[in-house]
Amino acid sequence: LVMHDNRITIVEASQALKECSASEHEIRFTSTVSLPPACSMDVLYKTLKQRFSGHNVQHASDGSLQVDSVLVKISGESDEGTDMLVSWPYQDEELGSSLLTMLQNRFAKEKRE
Amino acid sequence: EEEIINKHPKHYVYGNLDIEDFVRNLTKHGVTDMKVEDTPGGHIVHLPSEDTIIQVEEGSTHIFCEGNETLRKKLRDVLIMCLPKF
Repeated sequence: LVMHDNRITIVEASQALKECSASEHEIRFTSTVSLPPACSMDVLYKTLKQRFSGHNVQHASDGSLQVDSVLVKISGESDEGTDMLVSWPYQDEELGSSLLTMLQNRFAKEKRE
Repeated sequence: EEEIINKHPKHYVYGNLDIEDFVRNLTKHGVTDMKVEDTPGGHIVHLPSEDTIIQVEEGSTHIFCEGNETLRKKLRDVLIMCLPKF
């Protein structure tokens, strides 16, 4: 809610900050998760597409995957598996956290087996 | 199954982080093993035992974690607590 000349209006959060001459503090999180060697980016894409079907899941030009504003990227590969970076802005906190936890639970279990 | 995700953040944060206030609050919340370095653009808070780095700059903060969600959420909550918000 923003008050102008004794009138209250509803505006977007970013617009409210602009009108108060304040700038947003950007928060980003980057976490790592280790996936088993058998998990290719295609398998990962299909899993994310199925699990987050209400979101925009796509391949980025550099080979990484994107689910709305959450980025899933390879950071290193070895015989043990693939290290992935999962990165998201605070605006997509619930999605980012949920995606990371899903990858940790699902693929860490496969890795143990 | 499909996830139901809330697409709006709980808070909108703005302005800059007071690094001393942040470190003080981290300590208060049990994060004690940390090193703070000054950088040209701000500060880096390093948590060596957790392999975690917090990069603080003017108007932005980036938390790099090794997948420890409990720790990340604690750092997130302390950060939000220390920033002006609505």
